[in-house]
Amino acid sequence: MDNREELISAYLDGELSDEEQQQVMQLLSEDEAARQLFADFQSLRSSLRSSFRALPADPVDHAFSKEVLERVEQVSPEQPQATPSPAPREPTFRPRMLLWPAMAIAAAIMLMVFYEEPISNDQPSRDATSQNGLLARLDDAPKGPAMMAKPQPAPSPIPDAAATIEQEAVESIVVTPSESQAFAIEDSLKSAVGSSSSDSTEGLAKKRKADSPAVKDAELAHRWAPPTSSSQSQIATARMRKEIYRKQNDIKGQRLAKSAHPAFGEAAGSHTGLAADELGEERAAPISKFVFLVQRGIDLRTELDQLVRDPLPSIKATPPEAALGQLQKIEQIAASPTQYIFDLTGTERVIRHSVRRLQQSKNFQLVSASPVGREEEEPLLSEQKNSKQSREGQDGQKAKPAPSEAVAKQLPTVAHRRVRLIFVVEADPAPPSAAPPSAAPSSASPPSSASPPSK
Amino acid sequence: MNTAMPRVTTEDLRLIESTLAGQSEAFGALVEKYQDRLYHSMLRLTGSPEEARDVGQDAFVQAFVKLKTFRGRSNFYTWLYRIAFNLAMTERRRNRPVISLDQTRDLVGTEPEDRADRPDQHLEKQDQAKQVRQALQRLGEEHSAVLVLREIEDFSYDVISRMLDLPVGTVRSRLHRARIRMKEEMQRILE
Repeated sequence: MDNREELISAYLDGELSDEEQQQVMQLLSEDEAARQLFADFQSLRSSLRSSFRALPADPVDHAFSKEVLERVEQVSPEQPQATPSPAPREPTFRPRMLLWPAMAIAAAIMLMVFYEEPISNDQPSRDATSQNGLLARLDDAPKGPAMMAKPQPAPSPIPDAAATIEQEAVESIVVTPSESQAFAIEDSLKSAVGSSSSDSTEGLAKKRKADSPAVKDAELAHRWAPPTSSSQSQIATARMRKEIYRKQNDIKGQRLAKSAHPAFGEAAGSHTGLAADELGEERAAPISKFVFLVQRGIDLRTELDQLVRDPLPSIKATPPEAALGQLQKIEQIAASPTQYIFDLTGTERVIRHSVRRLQQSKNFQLVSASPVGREEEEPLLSEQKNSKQSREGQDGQKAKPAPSEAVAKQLPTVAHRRVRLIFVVEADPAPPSAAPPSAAPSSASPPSSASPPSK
Repeated sequence: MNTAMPRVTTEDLRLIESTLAGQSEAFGALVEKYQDRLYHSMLRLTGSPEEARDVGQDAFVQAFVKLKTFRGRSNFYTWLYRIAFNLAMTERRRNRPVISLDQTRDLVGTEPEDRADRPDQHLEKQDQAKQVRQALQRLGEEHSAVLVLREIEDFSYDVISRMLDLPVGTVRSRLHRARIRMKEEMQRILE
């Protein structure tokens, strides 16, 4: 009888499944005792409600809210545990004993990055409409020999929660008006690799749409929408963390790329080195997105403990000359075998130094550098062009096309806290047939259409 | 089966986001909006006006402190109520002396009169209500809490399970046992 009574109790509350409900209705129609119990429960409910209804219903006095607000003034809201620290620590000497934990952390992140790496011809299903344009477009671009010696393995059939979270985080990025120039650059780059140019317009249209109050309301509701499964819960958590981080740092439109420990990436290499020995070339290739910069003279570092808590905002870059200071942040906005897009954030001197370093490297071409967020004041690289050409001539190396005047004029100088650099990877000096046809336009010289509006 | 959680309203979301953005007056609006409802809920739960007031205020302060952890998965009031409920249960476990509603009424006569009834009917109803509340208090925390949450506050099993951190099935069986015990208590009073 207990189970039947429990069903009757739940039936009173309307908390039964359809099947159970039918069962109780059958029971009530056949069993007098069941009907009596149901009537008792109804009577009990009525008594309880009426007994409490008789209690005083006076509103609380005005002092109630006043006292609450006075107490609230003395406390501050707690930070959620997942919130990243907005202020990374200064670099400190790390004893050798930290090497193994660092390697372990890096290995863990390596695995995470390895499983999510999207550079694969076997993975065409990334939804371009949900990727904020650029990543999807670059992923769809043909893969050149410089970065992709062999085809990538098929993606793991096991869903990668971390990748999903990040993908969702990328989807949730807000595009700011200040990024319109970047969209223009991306458009021209996209035409250089032969893809459609409508995505940039879509991006700007999305931005305009995102500014409307109705969409903001929808975003508000969406942001707070309850997840319906564990993976959605993770996604929601990632979104929350990103949103909280954005609010705390007043960063709008920031695109955060998945990070690997750069120093590890440098040691491990990409096609070669430790990672390649252990994993094979094709699996090792995408391990470190930042090894590209490391190999070109930009020293990268991360704060290990922050990396554990939340690696996303912790990527740092330090030029070799300590006196120059350091880049506040370096973000890989997108990468493909034929092109890279990075955002450098730092003082003018540091950015200037970093760009110079990058320009001295081989096999890639700086297409443009444009400010993200502030107006420019004077050309950044005008003094570098001559010295670079001179160095190349002395070395007897193959002369690399210098940035055009138009591009040089776009380069930022002072007060640009954030600069977007776009590189096109040049094909290795190999027989023309070895290079994918679509990489050809980008390898010779930057297309004139790659020049974004400078102001 | 009714498992849907009430969603947080857009108005509340705006107030919450404004509060998180540092606008304390937005939180003041949330307090104004829910203070009466929460106070009366705590009054029914604790049986003491003083304790209901203290618990209500503590709950709002706690809610402000923890506001960033609110995920919008439930109605804001449900979340607030859960905080208050936990505070009330903690207070009860501390065995703090409580002046019950009925004691308060006897002392200061705050209970409103129902002028529609004759005096004898009014007294009879008051007496019955008092007996019901006393019976509920005798059930103990485990059963009285679940009965108050369901019968008085009208929360769904899903919400109750989240508030009490219990599986929905446990809520269902506990509510059933609470009703049986309450029924027995009422019969004993009538006898």
